[in-house]
Amino acid sequence: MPEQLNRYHNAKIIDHLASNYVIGTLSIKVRARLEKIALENKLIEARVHFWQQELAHLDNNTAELPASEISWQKISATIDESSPKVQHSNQRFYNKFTDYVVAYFGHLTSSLFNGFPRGLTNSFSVAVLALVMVLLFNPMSKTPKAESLNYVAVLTDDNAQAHLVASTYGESKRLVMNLINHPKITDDEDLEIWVVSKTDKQARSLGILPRNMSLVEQQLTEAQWRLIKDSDSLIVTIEEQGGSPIGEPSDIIVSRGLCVRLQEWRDNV
Amino acid sequence: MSLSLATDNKRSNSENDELMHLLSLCKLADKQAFHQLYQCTSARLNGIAYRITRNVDSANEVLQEAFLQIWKNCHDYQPDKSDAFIWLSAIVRYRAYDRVKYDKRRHQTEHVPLDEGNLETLSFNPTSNDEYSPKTLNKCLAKLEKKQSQTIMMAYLYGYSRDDISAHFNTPVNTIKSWIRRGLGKLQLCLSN
Repeated sequence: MPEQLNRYHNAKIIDHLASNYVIGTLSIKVRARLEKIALENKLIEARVHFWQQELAHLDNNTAELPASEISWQKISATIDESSPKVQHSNQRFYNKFTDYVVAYFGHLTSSLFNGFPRGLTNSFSVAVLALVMVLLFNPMSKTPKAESLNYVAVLTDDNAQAHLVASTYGESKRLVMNLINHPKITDDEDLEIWVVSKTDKQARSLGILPRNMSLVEQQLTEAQWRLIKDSDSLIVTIEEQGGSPIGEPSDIIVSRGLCVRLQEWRDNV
Repeated sequence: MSLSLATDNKRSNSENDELMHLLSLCKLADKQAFHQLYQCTSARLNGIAYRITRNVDSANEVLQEAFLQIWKNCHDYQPDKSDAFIWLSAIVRYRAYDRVKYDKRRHQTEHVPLDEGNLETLSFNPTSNDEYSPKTLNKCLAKLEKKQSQTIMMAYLYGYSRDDISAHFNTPVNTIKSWIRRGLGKLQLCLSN
């Protein structure tokens, strides 16, 4: 991130980007990048505020258009779907955690791989369970014992082979990714990981996966943490080197997996 | 609590205070306050979305996406840095810009017609008696070359890309970029002074 930020210390560049951001002439990709950087670069944020505040007067004479009657219903329904549930005790959660993982992933795998031999899906469930348990009690992990795992996603490829296990730790807002295998990509390609939002179903990038690394830890920004909290699933795609040029995932999906909030396990025990 | 934003274009301090208050309640997950915020602002925000997307259905979809983003990101709102309505309208505009770009990319072979009727309204009149347009912005826009102010407003008001503007003026894109860059540079100097 510091390397990226260095490019945005020039006042002229910052003002050019901020003003073009506000009048909407940046590409989707550059817009997304600037929004990400503005979260940590107060100068960019200030210039965006300046231009927004000054040019907003151009909106004053825009004619009103009453929203369609179903708009609020849709908004309201989406909010209700994503509202958090009440917490239960940790002790009960841990007592039934294993049962729930088996049930959850057993259901998931039978849904995902309907038509596959039962033995295969059962094996997969056990493999996933093993992965999750390894992840939770991973001796390699530097996670302090007091810090709890919040979200976990097991990403599998089209052959039901686990590709990546992603987990997040809420207190330090860290994302830990265990790469189980490394799909073949060319030198001018990269693997990019995306969060698919529960709210708007849009995919937003969490970044490029480093090559040839099995354990990746990433400190999440506030914005990324919010994405995780609203996540439906994670996907990994093959993109051109440096990441998607348009800020959206390509059609070449290497693996995907539902993002499971551990709160849900608690609620079910 | 009642607001009369529906018929009043002028954002008074009290209206801003009301919206700020509603946003602060939204931060506490007060859905009733969020609904009230929607009722107070949705027609104006939908008008902005329609101005850019030029399609009623798209405008409504943009509005829905924007309000979900507002609910989710209301913690990001900083009352000391921005008026509440400006923050809300910026979210709607950016969603609408992205929507226009996204639709265009999906239908790249389709020509996106420029609305000549809309362009007529872009002749900025600095002597207008529009009491709601701040004099400073009026004066500063009037100081720009006509094409510079036009391109800036075509982008801001109607979401025209540099390619669209290039096609409209039958001028290379790089020239359009230059008009916008110089125009914004002059505008920034003028507004800052």
